[in-house]
Amino acid sequence: MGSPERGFVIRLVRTLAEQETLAGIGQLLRAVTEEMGAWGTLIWVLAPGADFGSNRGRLFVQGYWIKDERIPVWHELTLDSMVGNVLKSGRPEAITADDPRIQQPKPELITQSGTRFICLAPMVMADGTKAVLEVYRQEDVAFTPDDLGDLEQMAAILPTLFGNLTDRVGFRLVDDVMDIQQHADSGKDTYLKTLQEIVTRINEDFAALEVSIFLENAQDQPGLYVRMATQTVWKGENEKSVYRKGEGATGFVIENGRTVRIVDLAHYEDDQHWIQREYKGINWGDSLAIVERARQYFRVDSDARPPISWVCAPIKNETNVYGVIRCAGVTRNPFYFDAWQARFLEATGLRLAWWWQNYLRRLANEREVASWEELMRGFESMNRFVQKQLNRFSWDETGFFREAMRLAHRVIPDTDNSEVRLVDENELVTVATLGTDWPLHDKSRTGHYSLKPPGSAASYLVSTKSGVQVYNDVNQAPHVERVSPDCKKLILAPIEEGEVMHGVLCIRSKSPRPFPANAGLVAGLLGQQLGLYHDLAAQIRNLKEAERRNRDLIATQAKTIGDVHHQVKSPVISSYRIAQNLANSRIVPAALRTQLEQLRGMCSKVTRVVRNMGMFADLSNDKPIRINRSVFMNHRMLQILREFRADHQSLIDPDSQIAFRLDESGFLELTGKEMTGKLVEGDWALLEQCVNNIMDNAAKYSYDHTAVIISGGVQARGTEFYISVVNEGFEVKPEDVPKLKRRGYRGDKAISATGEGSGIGLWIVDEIMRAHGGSLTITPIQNGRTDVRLVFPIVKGVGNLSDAAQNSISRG
Amino acid sequence: MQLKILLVEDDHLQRNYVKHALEDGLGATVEALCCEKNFIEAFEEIAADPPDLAVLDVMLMWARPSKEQTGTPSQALSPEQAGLRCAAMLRHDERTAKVNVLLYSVLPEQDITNRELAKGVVTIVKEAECHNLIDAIQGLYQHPVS
Repeated sequence: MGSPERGFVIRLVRTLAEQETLAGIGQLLRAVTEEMGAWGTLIWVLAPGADFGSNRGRLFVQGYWIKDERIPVWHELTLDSMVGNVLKSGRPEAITADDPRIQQPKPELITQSGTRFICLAPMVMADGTKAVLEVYRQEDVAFTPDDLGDLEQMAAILPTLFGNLTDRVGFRLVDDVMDIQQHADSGKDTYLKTLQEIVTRINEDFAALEVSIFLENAQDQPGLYVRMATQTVWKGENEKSVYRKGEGATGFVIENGRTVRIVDLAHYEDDQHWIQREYKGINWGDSLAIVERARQYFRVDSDARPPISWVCAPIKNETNVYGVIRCAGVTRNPFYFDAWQARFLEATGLRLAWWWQNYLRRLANEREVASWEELMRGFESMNRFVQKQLNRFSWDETGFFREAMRLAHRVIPDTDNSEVRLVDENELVTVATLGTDWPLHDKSRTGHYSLKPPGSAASYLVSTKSGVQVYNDVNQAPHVERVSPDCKKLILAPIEEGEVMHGVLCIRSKSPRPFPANAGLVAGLLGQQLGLYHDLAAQIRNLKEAERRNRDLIATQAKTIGDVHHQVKSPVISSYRIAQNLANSRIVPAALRTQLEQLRGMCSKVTRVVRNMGMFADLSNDKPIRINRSVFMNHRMLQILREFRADHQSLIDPDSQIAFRLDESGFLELTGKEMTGKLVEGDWALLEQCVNNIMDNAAKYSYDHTAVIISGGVQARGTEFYISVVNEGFEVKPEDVPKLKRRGYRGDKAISATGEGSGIGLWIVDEIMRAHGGSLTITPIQNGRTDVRLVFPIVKGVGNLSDAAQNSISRG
Repeated sequence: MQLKILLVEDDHLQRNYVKHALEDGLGATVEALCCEKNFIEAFEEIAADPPDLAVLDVMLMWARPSKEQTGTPSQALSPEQAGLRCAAMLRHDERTAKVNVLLYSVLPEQDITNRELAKGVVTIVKEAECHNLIDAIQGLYQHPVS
């Protein structure tokens, strides 16, 4: 035992406490050197793969401190050296520098430093690796047995002190990497910057010739692990920057998800047997190029050659290996990657996996949101298109198909070409293509496909009336036609309207990666939309044909519109439902709801325009208004008014700040009064048209920053039911009221000269109300406020009201 | 060169859409006005720093409904001519005579070009995605109209 007054344990621990970096190892060894009255101290560590039976194995300098740094420190000893003997015997030893057991020729460290005495003690490092602590002394004072005892004690505590220091350094590395991740900008362009910061931070501790991070972006390049960040001393050409599973040692780590650490690759030939044993199936490929490069870098080929070390840790979580962190060659002492470094590199990999996984999720999510947004914008413009086309009675269907396919190419990643095929009797006929490298008229590749088996995959879809089919492997599709030989994956979406299948939208891609999860849904919606518009186009074609045949344009329009308006309105109503379903579904992000509301509002407006035209046609042809009578239930009335309020509000110019409000009190009062009997009878569709028309007018003529109030209830001693829309805008003079109801009278022309409006809205409302035995009343109130009111007689059911309800009605 | 474009369109849905399409598609700066009255009121300002190009809807409302408004000038009673009147104002003022004018309307092209005020003005028919408008503008600046 050492003398207690020397107290070196406390001094060593204090020295440790002052150390923050790996240079602290040198400082600890300096303290050991000073305690031992020596000139220098080295720690030798046995490299993995040693075989004591055949006396094969190598020792490397794990750390050292010497007084004269100009003297080169050699790095490697064999197991049969003096140090090796101490390691094998497990006993400390004090020898003189001229001991023949010291390896010949003697290292410069001994000869140039004038070392006279050497003292050695075996050690076991914190991770179980065998090691030897070696101290040199120049003074002509031999080591005593006490010195030997002290050294033995130091050899016992040093691994703990080392372990403490390396743990601190390692944990700080992991912490710092997490810190970099957490503070990383979430923008997708900055992830490379973040990875580069991480590489730089790792290299602060690892001082490697090269540190690289390879990652797989499973969505864009599955199976390819690409170098995302690197810090290297290599100049000029860089080595391999993409790996696959099993490719070289890096690929081994990716495939097996385990860390590989080699202390010295320069002895690869000798070590192959244990490397193969430890890492079964590993192959090095061009990873060994590091050896030659590192030799050139160190410019030495003597016994002072540092080891050429290599460590590679997986970036993985429980389920996936996302990539690797690879470090090669160390430029400062210790010149190899220690076991603790491999351990912390692995820990860093775990954290990085978590970050990368989140990044990929976010990326996928952003892409999905972006594709929904794009789809919504596309649908909006298509609806605008329809709205305008309706006014012109013209239609370019091919252009519209192409527009829809362009949208598909934008929202479904990797789409290379697409095709619209329509059913024509017993065939599917290609009517529009986008992105194909063959012309539309090339009958060998496009054209006519029989619907009878064995047809194409598209004809199969039509004949079986299947829904959307997504084939990430085109070979899984039934009856694949080889019009596109390099097609790898395929989506087929039915173009349908209601029960009728008009054709198929084919979306093809050459990319091997799978379609994103929402691609099928998107293609399905597009197919549906195409079906709706195809229907609409057919009706407009009929209309144009009728126009051509008849001279009397107005009469023709009126008649034909009357015939087609039911068909025309249906696709837009379906669009309305799509928008409504999307708005209510969870698949669409909340941020898109407003846009969907607006889209729904637009569809609703298109429907109103079409319905007005239809009514106009019927009335112009003296065709009586057909009323499909049903009961107007109070709660249903309230529900549709709520929907209309939202539709109209969504189309209001935000700058005008006109607010649509629904005063529900009149309806709620009735709900509370146990109204069991019929209130009003009439046609729901016509009622909706009336309410919408007067709301449209209110929106058009209201002043900015005003409110449009919609209300309803029972009036006139319980004999009438009313729905009222009150707005504040252009003043209506009492003498103008009768004119407002006239066909073609545009009140706005005299007042505001708005570009819109055909002056048929109120005329139609008046006609509908009269057909119901009710009336349209327009009452100027004061200050430009106007009450436009639909009044229906309560034809039945008053007798069924309870007394309370009767009283309430009487009050109204 | 960053184009400076004046857009006059009364439908706010169209206005926002076309504005963003021109900004995104051409990298232009776009000033948007919503009615004929706005255009007339802002004319001095427009003339002082004229845009490179004016994109005008043809059927325009005279003014947004407003409490302060006293009435509509008789010449503004034909909203289907409003965009053409704006175009004529630009053409007849020497400060803005060189501003390129595009009429962007839902009306069929010949409906517009037959009108007296529209002589010599380029007309583009409104489309869903404004591709034709953007193409036309790009064409205009590759082969400028003198």
